[in-house]
Parts: sequence; C-alpha cells; structure tokens
Amino acid sequence: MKLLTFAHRGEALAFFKYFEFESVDFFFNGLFKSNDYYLLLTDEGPHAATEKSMATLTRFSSEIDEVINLGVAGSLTLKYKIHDLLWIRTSMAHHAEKLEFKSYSSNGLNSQVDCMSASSRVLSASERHKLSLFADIVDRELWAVASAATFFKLPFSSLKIISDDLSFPNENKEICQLIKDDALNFSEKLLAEFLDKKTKIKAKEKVKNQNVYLDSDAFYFTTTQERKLKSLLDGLNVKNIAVPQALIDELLSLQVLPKERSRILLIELNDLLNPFAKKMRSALDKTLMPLTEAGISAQYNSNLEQTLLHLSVGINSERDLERVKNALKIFTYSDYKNIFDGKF
Amino acid sequence: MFEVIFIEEHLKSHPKVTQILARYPLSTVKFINKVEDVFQRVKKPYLQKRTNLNLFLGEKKGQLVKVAPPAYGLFGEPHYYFVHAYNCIYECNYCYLQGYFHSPDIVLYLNHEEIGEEIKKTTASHPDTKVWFHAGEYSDSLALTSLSGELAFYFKLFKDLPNACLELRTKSVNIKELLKENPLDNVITSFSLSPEARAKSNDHKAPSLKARLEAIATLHKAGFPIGLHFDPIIYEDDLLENYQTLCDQVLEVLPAPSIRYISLGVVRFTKDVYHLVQKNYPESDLLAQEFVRSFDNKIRYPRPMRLWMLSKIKQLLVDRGVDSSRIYLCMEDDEQ
Repeated sequence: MKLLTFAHRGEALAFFKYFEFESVDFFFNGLFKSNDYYLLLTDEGPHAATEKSMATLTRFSSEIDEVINLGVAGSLTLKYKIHDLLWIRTSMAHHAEKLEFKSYSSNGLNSQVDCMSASSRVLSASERHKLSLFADIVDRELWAVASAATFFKLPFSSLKIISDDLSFPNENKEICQLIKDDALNFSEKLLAEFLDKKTKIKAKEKVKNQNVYLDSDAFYFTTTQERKLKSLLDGLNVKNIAVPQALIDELLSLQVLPKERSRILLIELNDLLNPFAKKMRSALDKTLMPLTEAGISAQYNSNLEQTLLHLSVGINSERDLERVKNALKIFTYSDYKNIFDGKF
Repeated sequence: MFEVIFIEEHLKSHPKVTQILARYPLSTVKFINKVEDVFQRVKKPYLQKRTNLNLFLGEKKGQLVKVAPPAYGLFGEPHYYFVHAYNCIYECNYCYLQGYFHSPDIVLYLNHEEIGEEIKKTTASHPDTKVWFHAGEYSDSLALTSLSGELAFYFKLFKDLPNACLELRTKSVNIKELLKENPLDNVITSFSLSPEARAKSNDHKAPSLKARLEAIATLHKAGFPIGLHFDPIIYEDDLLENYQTLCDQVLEVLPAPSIRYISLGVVRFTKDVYHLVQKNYPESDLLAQEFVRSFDNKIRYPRPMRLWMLSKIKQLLVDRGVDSSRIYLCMEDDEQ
C-alpha cells in the first residue's frame, strides 16, 4: 500500500477518476483509500501537511510501504517551464525566513531536481532569487511530508508539475486562480507520468529473497541477532559467497533449542564471511588452551582491541590448585600478546 | 562540470575568477556575500555530486594553518595542514569527506597570499626543526590545479622556506601544472595507491593505478621528489599477492632509494562515515568484513588483523629494498 499526498483536491482530480477511492472515517476529512493506495489531501502549507501526514502515518504506517507526494510547484530557474513534470531528488525547507538544515533525499530513480518547501507563498522576485540559490523549484508541502515519511522510516518520492515559472509577472496574486482553473489538466499530466513510472518500476522490481532463517521455526533471533544476521547475509551476498546447504542441514539436525541454533548459525556465517577473523580467534584459542584445558575461564576483549585477559577459576581442592598452577606455568603470555600485535 | 558557480561578490573582478568563468561558459553564475551563506546551509546528499556539482569561489577566513592529526607523517617533526579547498571531484567510496561536510560541492579559496603568510609565521615558530605542511586534507592537492592555478605561488613560497616541506597529496594524474615548476627538494608530491582491482572498485572516478604509476614515472624522471601512501589498505583474501604486485609495479617506476617516504594505513571510518558508506555503497564489499570500534572510537578491523596487514605489507617493502625508516604507519596507536 502506498500513501499518495496532494495539497488540494484539484491536483488529485484525475487520480480520483482513475482509481476507486473511498473516504476513510478518520479525525479529519481528506483521507481516502483504494485497493492499492491511501490518498491524503493535506491542505496547503507545511503545518497542515505535517499534522495530517503524521496523523495518517501514526495510524496506518504498518500498511504503508512508501509515501509519494504529488502536486504543483513553481519554477525558480529558467530551466523549468510550465507543465514540466519533475521527479524530486532532494527536499529542503525555508521556514520563517530561515533555511532548515535538514534535507530529505527521495528514492526517486535518477531524479535531478531539488525542491524547496516555503512556509508562505513565494511571489516576489527577491524571494525567488534567494531560494534559487538552493533549489530549482518551490512548493509548500513536500518537506513536511518527507519529514513525516522519514520519521516512520518509509521511503518517499515526489512528482511535481510546474504550474508557474519565471515568466509570471512578480507579485501577481492571480497566479493561484490561474492554477486552480487549470487544475484538471495538471492532475491528468501528473497521473499519466505516475502510471508510466509505476509500470517501469514494476518491470525492474526484483524478486525479493525470502529470509529462510527468519521464517523458520528452527531458529530464534533476538533483535540484535536479527540485525547481525542481515548484515552477515548482505556481506555474503556482496562477496558472492553461498551458504553451503550442508551447513544448514547440519545445523537443522542439531538437537538444540532454536536460540542456540541461531547463535551457532551466526558464528558459522561470520566464519564464512571472515575467514581471517576465524583464523585470528583460532590462534587466540590455541594460546589459551593450557588454561581452558585446566578449567580456567579465559576471556579477552571481544573487539580484540585491548590485550587485557580475564581469568576465573574455582578451586575446591589441593589438586585443583596444582592443576591451575601448572596451567599458568605452561601458558605463554607473549604468544597471546603477539597475536594482538599481528604476529601470527 | 559545475552546474552553478557561486562567487563571493567582492571577488567579482579577481583575475582567477575571470579565468575560471571563461573555462565554464555554460555554468550558471550566482554572486553571494560569502561562501558560508550558501555552502552547507542545507544538507546536500553526498551522492548528489554525481549529477549536480557546484563550485564556490571565496576567501578562507579564520585559522588558515592547522596542526595535523597525530601520526600524520614521519615522527619527530611538526606537521600542519593548510586549507585552500574543500571537497574533491573523485568519489572514493571510503572517503571521509562523505561525512565531513554537509555538501559535496567544491570550494576553492583564492587568498593564497594570506595562507602563505601563515605558513611563513608557523615555520618561523620552529626555527630548529623541519616543519611539514600538507595540502589536501579536505581536497585532492593536484586534481583541480589547472583550474585553481596556485602551484606556482606555493613553489615560490617554499623555495624561500628551506626549513619547511610541502606535501601535495593526490590521486590525480593532472601533473601538467606541476611540470611547469622546477622541482624543489622540499616540495613532495605523494600519491595514494592501491592494488589495481581495489583502485578500480573503490576509487570511483579517480585515475587508474596504471595512470597514477605513469604520472609517478614522469615526475620522477623530471626530478620531483615522490612520496607514497598505501592508504587505505582494504582486506581481501589475496591481500598479500596483490600488494606484492603493487610493490613491484611501484618499484619499476620509482626505485626504492628514490621513495622519500611511504605511509601505510588500514581503512578506518568515523561512526558517521561508516553508516554513510553503508547507505551510499550497499553493493560494495568494502564493509563485508569484521569491523570494531577501535582505540580512538574510529571503526576499524580488529587490532590483530590490521597490525598483521601492516606488518606483512611493511615487510614486502623492506624485502624489496625500501628503507624501513622511510615507512610509517598512519593513524595507528603507538603501542605497536
């Protein structure tokens, strides 16, 4: 499900005609739903757009996988003329005479246009000039929508159609009426471009690999382990290393709890991805063997940054004590330290 | 190349500005009060440099010469860097610049005379030692010199400062401007090198290893002193074989006694840059290794691994006749 946002109904007219939207009973009017989309009319300006985007995503973000802002925008450069359709690359904001430092990058494919969302209508040449130092076009809502999408960790994209350009006379308050009069035309062009892009994206979409481990009852991962698993699988994928089926079969045949199986899997995957790390840890374990064989627990810094070695052991008899003493005699600290210094 | 050229208003008639504008007649020109009014005011994503790179021309204010980070060069001598440019035209996927500035746009500062005065003052404050100055902490020292044209100024400056050394650190093969100068013993051009396949996969848009080696050969023949940086060293299963080949390739064009110094540094990131690399280059194998938070909070390979890499590569160089006193380890703690 995708969330489409428009400032005004006029910009969305063609979408209402093309898709079968039904009104959603919500805290405010202006939210609609079809089979594949939510459609939100935010009203004009950053405040309304923030409130309504946030409210909608708070309630429905679990159903939504992308936010797409569509609508009219003004050109700030001679490059873009009326009716130009532009996918936005970066969204910026100019609020209360100040530039917002935060900007948001869309997931638009090869977009090359930046959009400044202004807190008030930009009518004078001096305002246009000021904003043109940073962006190519100006609107009033995108940044608010993009910030809400980012807050909910959802990708966003934006398609704008130029409704007024530098050929419009300065301070012309009639612009808004002219744009309203041409709303259906703008909306139809937005829809045509939107549908065209959608078809192209669908063709390119890759079949996502199902994560066999997360879906299997044989494994149980904590959130941290899940992150680790993802990072290891990504790494193996990048390096074109396949996880051997024999390893999976062996793990599945182990008579252990899913949690323990997951722990072993992560170690195995890590060794597969980082054979050097395996070599390093094996070398360390080898130097510590005299201690571990004597029942001494020897723990070193897991990051391997510091050489500090912690030993702990329980002694219950003279014999235990002798065993520990002998182990400490055999243990060679310099061999252990050499590994930390890269000498192995 | 540059979509918009932003120029500080008071530099409108600066001869360098006129020259640069003549080179880019298609760029839009915008005059601004000062660079900071626009540069970094809004966060511009790093990868936007691929499709929209702007140029800023201004004058650097504030501290012009700064103390270099520890382990920046050979021990025992003071090291400084000076700032005459921000950002780089190349796109190395490990580069810290992707997290350093909030914009990938190029800034060229034109007040070299003021920077020169600071260099003189700093040199004078160390009457008994050799002082090092590094250009290129925030940019490539040579890549844009045919545009910025400051090399002649610095050669003249350092000719009169025999106690000071200038390092021009680069991956560029743009040596045309350099070859116009007479080599000076205290102006060292240093090249960052990686094995061929690594350079290809990581140093996006930078010249190939072969081209860099050719530039080294040309400069060496013309008498320019050369330094080398094997930095960043990135782990791969055939690391040693690849560095053996690299050492042999280098020594073919630059005999061991002619290497002024060579620094070795294993790849490292600040936490922010590490996350940016993950975001910007998800398909790269650069991060497909074990990384940990190291002694200075930077993200590195575990200590045994990086010290193993450094010692093995150092040995490869020593075995090939490079004097070990000319090899230094960059940005490692001093425990080794």
